[in-house]
Amino acid sequence: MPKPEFIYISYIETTPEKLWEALTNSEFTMRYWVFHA
Amino acid sequence: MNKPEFVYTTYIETTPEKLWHALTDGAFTERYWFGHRVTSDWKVGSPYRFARQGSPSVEGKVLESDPPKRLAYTWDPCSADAKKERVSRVTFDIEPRGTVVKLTVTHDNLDERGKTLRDISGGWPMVIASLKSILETGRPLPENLAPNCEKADAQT
Repeated sequence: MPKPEFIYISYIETTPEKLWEALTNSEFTMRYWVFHA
Repeated sequence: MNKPEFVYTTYIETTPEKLWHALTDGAFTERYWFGHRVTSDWKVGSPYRFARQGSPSVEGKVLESDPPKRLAYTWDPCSADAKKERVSRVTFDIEPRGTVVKLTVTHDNLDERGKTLRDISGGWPMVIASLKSILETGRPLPENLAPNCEKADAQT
């Protein structure tokens, strides 16, 4: 794995399917995705 | 800052005071820290201890106590393996960011490739995720997401 890399782990009370949807559905990402620097 | 170090940041919809309480009140830590109850008077130089069902898991002394902004203590796990390693340090930095709070956990002064580094790298994400859940929803994460903790307890 080429350095530098950033790894972040979290635990979320949800299902794998809902998390996948949250990462891939643009309507949903617009609500929580905040990278606009 | 001493290497290696572990830094974990998250944002929690709560107040600095509630977060401070969550980190320092034993009845509260027992609910989200997978059964580990903390005890201390949180004065600089005072001892503190985490215990699960009465058996000590981690102890140390308070290095910094500036409620509700910064808390630091030494980290001395009560297991024979970890006792061979140097005593590390945990610092919690609490910063208000509008209606939420930024929490940064810095664990440093760790041994290279040591058991403590391995344990805390897996452990902090679970503990902090459960802390965020309980403060935002009133419910901690279920205990069964922490198989490593159970294993570690069984070994001691």
